[in-house]
Amino acid sequence: MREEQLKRGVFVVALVGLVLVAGCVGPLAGESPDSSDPGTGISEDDNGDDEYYGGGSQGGAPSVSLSDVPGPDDTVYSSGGNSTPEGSESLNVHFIDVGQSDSTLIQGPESNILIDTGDWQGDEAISYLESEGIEEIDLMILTHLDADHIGQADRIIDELGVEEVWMSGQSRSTNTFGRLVDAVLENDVGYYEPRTGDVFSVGDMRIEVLHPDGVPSDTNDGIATRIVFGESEVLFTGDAGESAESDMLQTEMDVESDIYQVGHHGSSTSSMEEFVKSVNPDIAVYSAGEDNQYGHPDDVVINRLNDIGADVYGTPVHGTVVIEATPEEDISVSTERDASLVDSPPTLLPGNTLRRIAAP
Amino acid sequence: MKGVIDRIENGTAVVLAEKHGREFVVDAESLPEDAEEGVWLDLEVKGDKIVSAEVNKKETERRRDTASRNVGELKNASDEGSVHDRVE
Repeated sequence: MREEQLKRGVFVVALVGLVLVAGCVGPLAGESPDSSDPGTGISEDDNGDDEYYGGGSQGGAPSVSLSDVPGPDDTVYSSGGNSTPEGSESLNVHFIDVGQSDSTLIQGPESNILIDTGDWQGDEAISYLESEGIEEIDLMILTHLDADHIGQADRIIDELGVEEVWMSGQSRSTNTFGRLVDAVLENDVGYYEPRTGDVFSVGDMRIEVLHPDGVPSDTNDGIATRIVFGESEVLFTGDAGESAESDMLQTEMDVESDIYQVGHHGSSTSSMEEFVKSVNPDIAVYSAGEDNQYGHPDDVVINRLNDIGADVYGTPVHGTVVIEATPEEDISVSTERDASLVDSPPTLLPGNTLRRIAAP
Repeated sequence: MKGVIDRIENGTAVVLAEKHGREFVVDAESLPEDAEEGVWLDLEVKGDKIVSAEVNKKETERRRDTASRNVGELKNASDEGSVHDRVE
């Protein structure tokens, strides 16, 4: 392992020039969200095509990696390399590009967890799982019941094996929810309503439940979990807003995480300053649709994350983002698409090497 | 056609007409006053726009009953607790 790291280090240096020539691979600095006004008139969302973005996250996907990160200023980036060797003992977190929606596959050495399942009108989540050869989901966590989070859950349950599903205990009067319930019952899938303070182990992963402590009254509110793999942590809060975030800070549980899925698609109703400072992530990933009608992500949130030294990735820009984390906290990022930073506003942090290389 | 308000976020309502495979993202203020999340609506749609929306109280009640019965069934069908190993 150590030798591999060393070799990779050499590769890093060799590839710095390539990054310059081949274009810019890397996180976002203060990306401007589309400012289309969500408040005007009545219009139909036409994001419903079954567009498929998957096709595997490895094999030629551009990649940056950081090794042994004591702080953002010491971050070392590299580019290239197939980050997921066969039989890997790493955790692979796939932020699947599911448009204006959420679905994340957490692939441990022995077990798979799926958090949210894409939009009801799409099939990107189930297609991606199939293309990755995922046959069994040990745990499906549905953070809350919006149709952009539970959308493909029924089909995933019907077509793949799902051992257990977690929901908060809320109900929703949509057909999408009805189909989900039918799928759970017909396939004898386990059902559990996790509560704050619960800690489970699933394979090599430790699942810490940070929220809720009862059936949430706010429909955006739901299950928040911190997934711990050795020294590496990943935090998922779904669409939880400000009040849920402050509840999480009141518990005795630790929220600090290497990787943070930016709450509520990067909306300014989540990722409050005190919260993100406590999470203190090295890497933040938001999932949203390109040119979406909600103005996600909010620039304020992206800047806030940049300001605390997090590298921000987004599925509308990078496509599917796969993060590999070792138990020793070595973390590398692969993205489906190169993201050009040329059009980004110059809010580059002085300490960030990659951005300096990438800036023209 | 019938539609249901799936969610309202920052003044934007998402109305699903699931049977027709359609979704409308609208200004929540353009909907009737008592239109909240989970409410079923009778919609008049022209092209890709909702031109009128009326709350269907009967359908709303029926669907809400079904939804809470659904959650009840989930709880009943599952044993208490998770199949995964509880650490704490």
